[in-house]
Amino acid sequence: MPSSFASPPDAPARESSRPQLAILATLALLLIALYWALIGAPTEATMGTIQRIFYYHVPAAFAAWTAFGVNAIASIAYLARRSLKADAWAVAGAEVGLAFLTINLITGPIWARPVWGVWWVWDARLTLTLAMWVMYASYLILRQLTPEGSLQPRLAAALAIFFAADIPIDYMSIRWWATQHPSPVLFGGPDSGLAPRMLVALLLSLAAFTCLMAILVWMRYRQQLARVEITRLRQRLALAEE
Amino acid sequence: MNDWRVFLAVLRRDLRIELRTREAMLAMGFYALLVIVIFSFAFNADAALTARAGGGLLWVAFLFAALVALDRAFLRESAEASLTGLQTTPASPAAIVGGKFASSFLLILALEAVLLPLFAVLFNAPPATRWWGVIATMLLGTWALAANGTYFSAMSVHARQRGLLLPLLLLPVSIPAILAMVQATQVYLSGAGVANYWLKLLVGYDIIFTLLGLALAEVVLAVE
Amino acid sequence: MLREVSFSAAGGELLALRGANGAGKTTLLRILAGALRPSLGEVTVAGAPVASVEARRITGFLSHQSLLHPTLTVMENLEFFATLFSLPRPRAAAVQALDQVNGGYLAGRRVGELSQGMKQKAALARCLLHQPRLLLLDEPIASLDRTTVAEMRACLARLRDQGLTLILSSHQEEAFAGLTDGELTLERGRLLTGAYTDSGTRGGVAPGPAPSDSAAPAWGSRGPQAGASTSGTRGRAAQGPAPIEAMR
Repeated sequence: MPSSFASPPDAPARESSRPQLAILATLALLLIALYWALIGAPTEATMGTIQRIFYYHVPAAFAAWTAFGVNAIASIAYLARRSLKADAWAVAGAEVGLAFLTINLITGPIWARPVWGVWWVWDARLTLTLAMWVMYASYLILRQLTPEGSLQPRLAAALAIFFAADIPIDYMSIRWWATQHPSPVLFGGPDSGLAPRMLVALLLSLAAFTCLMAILVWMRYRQQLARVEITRLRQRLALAEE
Repeated sequence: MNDWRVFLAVLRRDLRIELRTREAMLAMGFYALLVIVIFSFAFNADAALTARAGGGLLWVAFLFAALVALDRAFLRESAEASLTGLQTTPASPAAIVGGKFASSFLLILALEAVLLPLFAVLFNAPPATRWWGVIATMLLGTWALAANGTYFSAMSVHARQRGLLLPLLLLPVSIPAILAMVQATQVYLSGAGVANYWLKLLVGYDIIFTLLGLALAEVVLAVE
Repeated sequence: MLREVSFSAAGGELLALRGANGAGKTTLLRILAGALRPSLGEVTVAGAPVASVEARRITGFLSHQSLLHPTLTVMENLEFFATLFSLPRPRAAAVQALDQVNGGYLAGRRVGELSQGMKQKAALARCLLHQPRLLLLDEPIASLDRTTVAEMRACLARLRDQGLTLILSSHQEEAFAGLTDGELTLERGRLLTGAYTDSGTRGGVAPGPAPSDSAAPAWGSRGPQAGASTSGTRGRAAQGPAPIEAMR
């Protein structure tokens, strides 16, 4: 049974230094990306300073989608092999993904308002983001409301697979719908004529966010395994004592 | 194939139970009626509104009715723990869940049959409405709601806050289908425009999610 | 939580499942019946995995709830279950099962209108539809009147003599006095009594009998293998879906 994920207090410094290193590196990367986003990259011609939000808006989406990808794959793995580790990855991916998606959803309107005068547009991407946000929020609520034990991971995994089938259809339908209601596209796409310094800022931000996401997912994964182990130990204790 | 017999047996049994529990059917029917009536008050229903937003209004009303009917899909098994009985048999979960899809589908359709004429009257559906299209959309859309709704109804049996969980699970996943239903209905209500894309989407959605629900039926039925 | 429960039982035997509250009796019976899924480990009945069609076909499960839908008649319920068991002639099977429990007069009545005793008779008929070899009984006579209990006892004795294996868990042990051929005692999820060596229906989790935990004095043992012991410990209520641990 896995006991290696609990690190005892007297563990040698060497063991615990690797995560610390990764965290420091990510923080450094975030700071560098911040500098580039705010100062290093040139100000955009038409939109002005507010455009700099782009350097957080896009990477947040990318991080979210990647985390959700982890959730999807882990959920399939769980149903195939009933591995508790797979389930831990699944819940970690969903939670962290939802957090990043929230950032994406909040930065969107903040950007849109000064640029187009409206908080919300039924732009294809924003709409899809909203739909996905609602989906993964419901996933977390399902987990919250089902009892722990073998039931929660199974139902959650089934739901995650439904999402995996749903999201491509969502994408298609929302895109078609958006073509019927033309609205300003939020940005011309990350590859449409970005000045080189802007590209650098974007890539740095992408890297920083991805690292941050990876660390957060990993931490949440470990926490989930610990939580499951604690529950198990509690059960055994309850049986052993009297 | 015995699965087919199980499917029919479950379907027949569910319908029989609903018909005998007449007070449930009555209450559901009245609920559906109320929804439309209140909506017509709340939205100041008139022809202009229906031309702009009729599709959405109709389907929100249908959704309310569907949620009530779907909740009963597994709620009616709680008496005498009859769901446990199903689990002790060798019947395949897919056949059982499939039977419940079908019975929910028919029940929701029955409710919508009450709602649709009411809507047409209270909301002054335009004379140019292509009703065959509205009905086709109704069938395809209800199939989508019934399929996923039955599956999530089974899921919520195991959870706390059962009544709340069903809509929380069903609505997000149904977003593309709802989009399609509403848009298609709107097109048919206005008498002009083409809704083929939406209908095709619905057909695809229905097939994919029915198959998915059947394939994963065991996950949702297994533990009590 | 159940651990390493493994036992054999011969055909034509009635085993009493004993243990304090929370020892795992209901859990064990439900897992064998297919109503509860073990979260860890494997469960086999007569060599087949518990969730398999083969295992389901030879097992019947009777609990204090009838598992029949109240709005349908007894006949409708039984025919429905017969179809679920893939029986070729559901109606005939239903009639036959009702006759086995002397319940023919119940056929057209709605389950919701029946008294508890009649419901249990109908429930027993439900168990017998597919002519199982193994019958699992979880508190079958709870809240039944004396007459019905006597009827039930006679019926179970008949079934045992016909060669069925019965595993019975009941707080009202006196009702089945003299009928029991052996005992299985669970204590905190472990099986204290050993196995029977006769061939027949074998139920098992993981190989190997479980060692006895406490050395409490034995109390009256019956059957070929002795060694039953009910210690005076109070158990805790079972918590949710119970994992069965298999030591591998």
